[in-house]
Amino acid sequence: MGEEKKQQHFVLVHGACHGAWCWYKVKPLLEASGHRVTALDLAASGIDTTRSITEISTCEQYSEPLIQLIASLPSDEKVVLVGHSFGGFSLAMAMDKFPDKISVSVFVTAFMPDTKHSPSFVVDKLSLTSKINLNFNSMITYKFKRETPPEAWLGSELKPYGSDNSGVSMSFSTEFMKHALYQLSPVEDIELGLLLKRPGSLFIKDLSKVENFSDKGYGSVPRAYIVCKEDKTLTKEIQWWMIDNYPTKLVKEMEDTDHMPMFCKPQLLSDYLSEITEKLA
Amino acid sequence: MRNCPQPINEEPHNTTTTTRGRKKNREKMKQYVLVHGGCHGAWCWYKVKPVLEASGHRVTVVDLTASGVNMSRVEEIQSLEDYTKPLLKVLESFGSDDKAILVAHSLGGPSVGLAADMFPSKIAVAVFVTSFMPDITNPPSYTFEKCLESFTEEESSNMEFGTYGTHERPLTSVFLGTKFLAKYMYQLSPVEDFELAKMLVRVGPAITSNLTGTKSLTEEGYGSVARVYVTCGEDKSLTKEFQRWIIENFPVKEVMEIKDADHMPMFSKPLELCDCLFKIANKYA
Repeated sequence: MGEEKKQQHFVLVHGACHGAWCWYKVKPLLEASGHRVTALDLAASGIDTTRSITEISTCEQYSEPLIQLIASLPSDEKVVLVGHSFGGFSLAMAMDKFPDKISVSVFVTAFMPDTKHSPSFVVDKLSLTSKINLNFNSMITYKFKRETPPEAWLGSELKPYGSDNSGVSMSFSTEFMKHALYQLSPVEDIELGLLLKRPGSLFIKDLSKVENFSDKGYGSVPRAYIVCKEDKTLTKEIQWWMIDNYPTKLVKEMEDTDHMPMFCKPQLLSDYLSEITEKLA
Repeated sequence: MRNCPQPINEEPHNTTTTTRGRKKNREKMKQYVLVHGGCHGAWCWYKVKPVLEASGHRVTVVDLTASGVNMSRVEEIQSLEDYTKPLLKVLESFGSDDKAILVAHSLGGPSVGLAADMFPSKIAVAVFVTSFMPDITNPPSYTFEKCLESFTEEESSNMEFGTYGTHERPLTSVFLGTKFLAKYMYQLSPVEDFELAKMLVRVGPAITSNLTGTKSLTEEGYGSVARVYVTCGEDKSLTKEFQRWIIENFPVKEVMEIKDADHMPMFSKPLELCDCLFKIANKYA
């Protein structure tokens, strides 16, 4: 009691199809603990209506708002990056470019690439495990699949875009949101999600072509992982597989938490974020 | 589970959901259409919609043009009809058997007025919740323009006005700054909802007579629709006095009050707001 906790600057990065808005509960909690918080919209996300996802061809372009934010930080300032779900890739890009500006990165039921394999390696794992191939070429297979696991895409639509059709946009269906992403979250937050969701992309083709993340850049930044144990989409098995594949300094587990901990258990998430920074930042 | 692919939809967000078999009594299921205020979007009804639906009613919420996640830019709004288009599309799609309870919040009032003017037979009652309710004498922009005139310099300074349109017909855009939201609109709302607003408010059109034109709405159209006004007692942007003036300007069938609500009753007093909406539906729909 009475210990001076260091004030951190948290930068919160949303997942695919979502926006800065998803942090609306967590931001005030972190601020009440004395921290600075920035939540931003990645390209074609949230209320960035200047573009649609079909105009974004690479994960780097998608992550540009985060890259710009980090680039514009004063020279003596470091931030704590927090990435949710697909936001893990944006974190990796920022960490690779500006490792000295990031004190610690927290992956919250997020894709966490390594430096040994192609960046698409961890997304490929998801598509293999859920028996749904996220590659456009297999869209035909998906549409005519006879047996679809109950937690699989539930009518979410995958559609090609781009001049060479190499992009795939995904739009979550209502059923997918309710049963595979938000199943333990308050009904009001499901409503909010349904009112604000937008088409997104996993940029699989692009991630399979770009260079690996580097040991000197991405690999040099301390990482922590927060596992959401009742996540039906990025299951805890896949989350732990990513941690085992590229170990982090710290792992926290959230019980009874679905894919959306910022809705399901915002106080616990906020507490864990504070704890992680106290230990690692 | 059956796969029912939905089309990718970047258009103004309209959702209608139906509860299945959760009607509390044998009362007929009502149809609500909820219209947000200036710079806001369908998202602002996220607490109200589930409560109305839990009682067995159908609820449609809309993003007006350039609002919420609607992909249009404010510069594309050249008339009140342009701004209201997503709402008009919804009403167009309704059959004439089920009359809707059309609810306007704040600057959604003129749009609801226009919609009622165009589809009077499809509306059971129009509900104005601390809203700029038009009349049938003056342009639909009248009550909003009067309100702007009454703002102090301090109040206006926290609203960011811009211009678009042409030299001959200048149009005004408005953005609600953080200070204005905090002091005059959300002062009694949960901090999370204020946070949500900061992340989601967008530049919207100011509903001026340049935008709406000077013709009033009609007696046969909008004038024939039953209207109820819901006042918010602690509203600091549309004060209680100004709300009373709006009612006196064009009297309504009934006035209901939510005493301790700020400008955003859907955040500060959602259950009380729903209670008003239930009562209104029982009486008028």
